[in-house]
Amino acid sequence: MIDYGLLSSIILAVGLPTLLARQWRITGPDGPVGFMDIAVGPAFAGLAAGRLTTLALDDPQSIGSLSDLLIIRSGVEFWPAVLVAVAVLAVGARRAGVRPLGRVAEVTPLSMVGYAAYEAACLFRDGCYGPESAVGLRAPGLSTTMLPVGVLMGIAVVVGAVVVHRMQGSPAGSMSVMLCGALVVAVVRSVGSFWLPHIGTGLTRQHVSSIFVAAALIVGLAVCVGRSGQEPDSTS
Amino acid sequence: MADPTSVGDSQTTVRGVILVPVESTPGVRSFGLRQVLLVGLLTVVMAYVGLAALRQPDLPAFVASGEPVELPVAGSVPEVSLAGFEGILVGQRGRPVVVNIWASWCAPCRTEMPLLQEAATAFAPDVVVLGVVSNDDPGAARAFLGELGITYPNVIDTTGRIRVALGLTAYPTTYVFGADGTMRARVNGGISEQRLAALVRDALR
Repeated sequence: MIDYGLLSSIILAVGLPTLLARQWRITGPDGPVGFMDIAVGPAFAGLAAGRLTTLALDDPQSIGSLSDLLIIRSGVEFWPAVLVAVAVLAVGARRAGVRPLGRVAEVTPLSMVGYAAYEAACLFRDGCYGPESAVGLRAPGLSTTMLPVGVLMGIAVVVGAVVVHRMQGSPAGSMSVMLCGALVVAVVRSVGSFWLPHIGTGLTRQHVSSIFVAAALIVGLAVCVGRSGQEPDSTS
Repeated sequence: MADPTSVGDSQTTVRGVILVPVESTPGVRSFGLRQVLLVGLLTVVMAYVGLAALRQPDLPAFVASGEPVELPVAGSVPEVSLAGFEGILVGQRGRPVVVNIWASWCAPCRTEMPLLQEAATAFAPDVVVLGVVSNDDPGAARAFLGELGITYPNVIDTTGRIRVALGLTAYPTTYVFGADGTMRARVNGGISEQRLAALVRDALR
């Protein structure tokens, strides 16, 4: 059964940054390069890593099953996926003769837009959920309207992406740009998790991991800013 | 008609207006009409596909009737007829029932069943979760339940009439019945935590 909602979301998540890359250019050794040219490999590597992590945490017996692995809808652990995608992107940049950190920093705001598109495309998947609200959307099967948290998350991340893009070329440095981008996403996911309906009373894994990552990124950003204040930035 | 006249190497006049070619600024490229049309077309196509994906077919006209039947004891996994299944639903009137149709060979079923187990525990006793094994070997299904540690009640649809009555088109499918016994929602394919929680809370209102 083809999940058209998921398919639409993925096309939007890839298509929007690809179009935007015509404005927010990615530097290559011989001029600008396309978003798709450099992002597809890392994206697939990240998806595979995220899916494997989910299976390892939820159902280790399924790891050997290709059919279980391919059901992306069943969950992709977000932050392991991001980590692996960034690593693959950096390796690809080094091989292409481009400074890895600079490439990751350039791709960061575009990736944020892709993520924002995916979140906002909750409209196309199984509906947008959130707290009950008079102003909102009615998901299939519900008698009440709910605030579309995914759409709000998407808007917040796009705003963050614009800010992060404007940081490019500033004294902040590539590392700071990258960390700021990740921090925006981590904070948005943490706040969004509070609003999303879930089973039980405890925090969801998505929530816990995003809070943990946000805290780690704040520390990393503080260290980065502290260092850049002491010595000239060698990364930008 | 315009009569372009060459003026020097880089300028052209049209009806007396000097047109000067503008060099593009490095790093900045403006969107042309073609790109705008492409984005517009893509947006329309995506909106159509997305809305088509959201469009839910009408729910089947299924209303359980008959004599009430007790919920099966956890771990028993009895084989039931359509009448027996309806009897179980009738017996649960007064609280919402989540019915999940699954099979042991279905990979998404394996993924979502721990979520249903969590829901069965979290929402008990206000909500009942009932699994229906369909199109499957009873032995494999029972082993599957044991392997995943599922404790909510399950029955086996040996005749296939339950899945026909519920208009099953995909594995797994989850149905939510309200406290009054009416079918409120059907989710084809794996169900997300957000959707399950939202549907159950809505049914509890």
